[in-house]
Amino acid sequence: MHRPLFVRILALIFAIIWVDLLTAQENDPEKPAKKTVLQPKATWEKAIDLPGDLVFLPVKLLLEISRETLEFIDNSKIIPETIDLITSDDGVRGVRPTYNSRTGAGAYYFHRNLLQEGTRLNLTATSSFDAENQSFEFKQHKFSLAKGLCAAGFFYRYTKLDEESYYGSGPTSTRGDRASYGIRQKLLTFEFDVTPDAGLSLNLTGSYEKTKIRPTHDDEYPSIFEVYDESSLPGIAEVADLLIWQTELHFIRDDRAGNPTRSTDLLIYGGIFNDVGADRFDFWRSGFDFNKVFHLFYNRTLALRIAAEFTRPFTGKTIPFYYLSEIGRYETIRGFKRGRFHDRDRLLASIEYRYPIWNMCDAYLFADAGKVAYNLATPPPGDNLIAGYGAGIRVYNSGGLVLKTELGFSEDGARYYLTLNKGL
Amino acid sequence: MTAAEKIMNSTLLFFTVLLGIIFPGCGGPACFVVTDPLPDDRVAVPEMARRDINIIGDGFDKQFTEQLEQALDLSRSYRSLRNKRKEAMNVDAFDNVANSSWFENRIHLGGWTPEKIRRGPDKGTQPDTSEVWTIFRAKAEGVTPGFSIIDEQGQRYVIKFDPLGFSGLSTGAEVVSTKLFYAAGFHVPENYIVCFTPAHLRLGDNVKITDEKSRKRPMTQADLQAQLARIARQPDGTIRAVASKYIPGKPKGPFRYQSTRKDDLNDIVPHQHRRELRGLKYIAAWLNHYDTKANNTYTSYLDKGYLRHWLIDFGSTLGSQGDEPMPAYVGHENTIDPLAIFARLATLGLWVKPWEKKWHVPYQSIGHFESDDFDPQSYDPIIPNPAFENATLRDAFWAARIIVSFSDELLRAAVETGQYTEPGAADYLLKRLIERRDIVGRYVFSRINPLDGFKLLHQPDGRIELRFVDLAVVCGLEQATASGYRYILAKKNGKTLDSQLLGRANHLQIAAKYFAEMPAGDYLQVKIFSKRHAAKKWSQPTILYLEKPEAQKSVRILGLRRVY
Repeated sequence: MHRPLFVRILALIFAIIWVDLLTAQENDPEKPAKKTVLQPKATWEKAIDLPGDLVFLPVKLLLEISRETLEFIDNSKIIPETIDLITSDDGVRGVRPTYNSRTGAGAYYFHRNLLQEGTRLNLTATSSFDAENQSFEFKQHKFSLAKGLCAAGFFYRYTKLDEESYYGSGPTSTRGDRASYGIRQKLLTFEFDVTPDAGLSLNLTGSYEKTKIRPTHDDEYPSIFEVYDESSLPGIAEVADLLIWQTELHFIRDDRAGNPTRSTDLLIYGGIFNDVGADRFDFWRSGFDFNKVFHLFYNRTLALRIAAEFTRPFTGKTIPFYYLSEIGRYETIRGFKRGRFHDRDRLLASIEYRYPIWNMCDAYLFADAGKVAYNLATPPPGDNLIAGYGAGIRVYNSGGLVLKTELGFSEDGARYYLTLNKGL
Repeated sequence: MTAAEKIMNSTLLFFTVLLGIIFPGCGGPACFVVTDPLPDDRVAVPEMARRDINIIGDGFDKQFTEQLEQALDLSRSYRSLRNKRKEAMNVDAFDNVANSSWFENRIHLGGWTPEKIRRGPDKGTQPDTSEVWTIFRAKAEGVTPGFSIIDEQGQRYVIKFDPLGFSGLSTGAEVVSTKLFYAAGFHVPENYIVCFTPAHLRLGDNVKITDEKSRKRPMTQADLQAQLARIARQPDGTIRAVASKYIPGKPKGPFRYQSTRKDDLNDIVPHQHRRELRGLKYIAAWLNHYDTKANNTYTSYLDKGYLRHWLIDFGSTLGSQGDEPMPAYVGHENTIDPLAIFARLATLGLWVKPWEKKWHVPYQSIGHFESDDFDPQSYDPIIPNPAFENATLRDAFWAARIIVSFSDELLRAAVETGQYTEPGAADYLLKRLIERRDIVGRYVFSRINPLDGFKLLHQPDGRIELRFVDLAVVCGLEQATASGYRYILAKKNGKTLDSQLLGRANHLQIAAKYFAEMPAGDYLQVKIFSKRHAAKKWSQPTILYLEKPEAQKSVRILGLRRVY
């Protein structure tokens, strides 16, 4: 028998009200006595509530499951027990997750005071989800020397990146010229740190690095080997065995760690790169990176950055293409594809307005600009400038930044970045 | 009204019109009905099992599930739209609450002295600091270090401390608020300020400590020394602490601010509709008791066989957050406030909230406790509180009447119990308490007619004199010379019998003839309005219902209704 729709709806409403009235009588089967709870809602109110109740029912189910899950996690102590499992009682050893957009997700293990009080051992391993990009690092540093006047350390890093792109050299390279390649790098570095004053440090490093370019299996873009050869793109076929001597002078002053409201941060660096293999790649590189944070009002800050880098070959030598200055990495102009611009010199400027949105959480708007050039002095710095802009959210604690998530826009489109515990 | 409710209200306009057609009688004047009093909830019932509440689950429920549920609660939104929020369900005909396992009428009944305030809930004495205290349990909850001790008399106490560098901050707040909440009518533990020598502490057997990784293990002397190292010392080397006496009865876990407890047969009023919990919103706001989550409550099954409901843990009140001075946002936002976070995100930080500019700590022992940006109505606790969210102006009036009962002298007595040694700190705290008290009073009494203390006097000539007091005048918030009153005498059906301007007089005369003509079972309405010189309009009335029972010669007040 076919009943009209309104009859069925009416029957449903009455059924729900009836069930609701029945269940409203709160009782406990274990207790013989019953009580009558005062009903906060009249029948007409329950009838009015029906549409909202029906809409809310599936949502409530989802929220209930979420709450139960949270309670289970809390009651089972999974999080503290996991931390307990991976961190020593005294906090000297531990494991932390890490992620960045380039090398993917992973973890780093730290071990403080291993061979000497104050030293720190870091073991880091990251990988993209498809294992195309991987990175491993072993770092032992902060050995105290000369009664604490300086510190020493070393690290070894292996990097495998199979999703790199090259768009040609120069500031006018186009997206259509994209060619793909893979890179393998092994780097062994010894470093010495001198800290004459709090906030001022001098770092000297000596490194050996071996780099090899490999074809990739990317069908979407041509391989770099199809487009270039060693004569048109130095470093593409020849393995580079570089001995690198670098020095860094770092000055930093801030009013609080993690998220300063006022700070000055200046890094000046320079290095010589000698090819100890084929003796073909000899060049030097120098640059600076200046960051200043101004307090505007009530924890709103303005961060300014200006950075420049210069790479020059020695006479008769050349620079491997992957050592050219680059724009497109996360820390350059956000919004561009990785490796989007390459050339000998690079100029960067950035402005970032940060404002608090929650406890230990800031939002920010940024605008980046810059360029690559064969020689920054000619043509004038204003030519061929490119820009990106966007917004992000950063979470920090007293130790520093923990998480950054941001969206950058440029003429190439949009790009999303996520960084957890810095990554490699 | 939340933003979600505002969105719902536009949708509900349609339903309003529809319901106006379907239920034309709903908006008319309601008859005054005296309901039967609720049964006393202090009668013996079977003992219930202990029930604990998961803080994270409870916070998730309050912050997300219940907010969404409220937004989709169409009848609630409909009532909000019509400014007819559901009133408290446990009030009598005079809008008062009876003494219960939740609350006892205290200070607003009068007769309180500074000595009574100082004594507060204390029934005995503080633990003897010259004796050995044996630690039998390490404190596992809360933000401050602490442990439980048993003294040589066998009394058990929880010992709680101030954060390092803030002597008196948490302990002072705990004790001062204890006295004030007790006088207001709530059940609170006995909290004493003690200064003891660490040498008198003895670590008991099998004391377990929960470390930072949530592992339980035996507490060692090293753990004790580590705890004591985090605690501020007095100039004489002693340690100042709060000794919170164990609550009598068997612990049965915290109570929720909503629904009822199924296994408590005395618990028949949904908690979110209990007047004392709804009114607590304003008392908690006054004292900056923002941490009003369920886990800061307690129930104990007494020897008499019923469950008593307690408020506990006042270390995070006034200017103290327990482990540091109160942050600036407290009272202005929930700890996780999605709407506030979104608003800040969307306004790019250009919208600087007034409270962001006001944070300062003038005294280390007081912390951050201000009055110039205090708004009792919009005061936000740590997580949304269902009872507070249901509070109406009548609940506010009930609370304000209690709050303004604390005279300056009584407040001074309460502040003295904090034993502040920092010069000027006690005066500062007292000043802020007085200012915040007056802000609550002004807020409430400017929105609901503040007349109270109604008394009937039978004159020899048969006339009835009705006397009342104006709470706003009595507590000095308004000038008597700037206040005026009028009344309307009406039949049960609303027909006016008499009306008169009273001027500044807070009494009125009703001729005997009106009662003589009144049929049995009927009543008269006396609507009294008030007005200040500065105000353009008369207030909404307080309506008194007078009846003359057949068996009696005298007229009596049947009940009252405060209209807003």
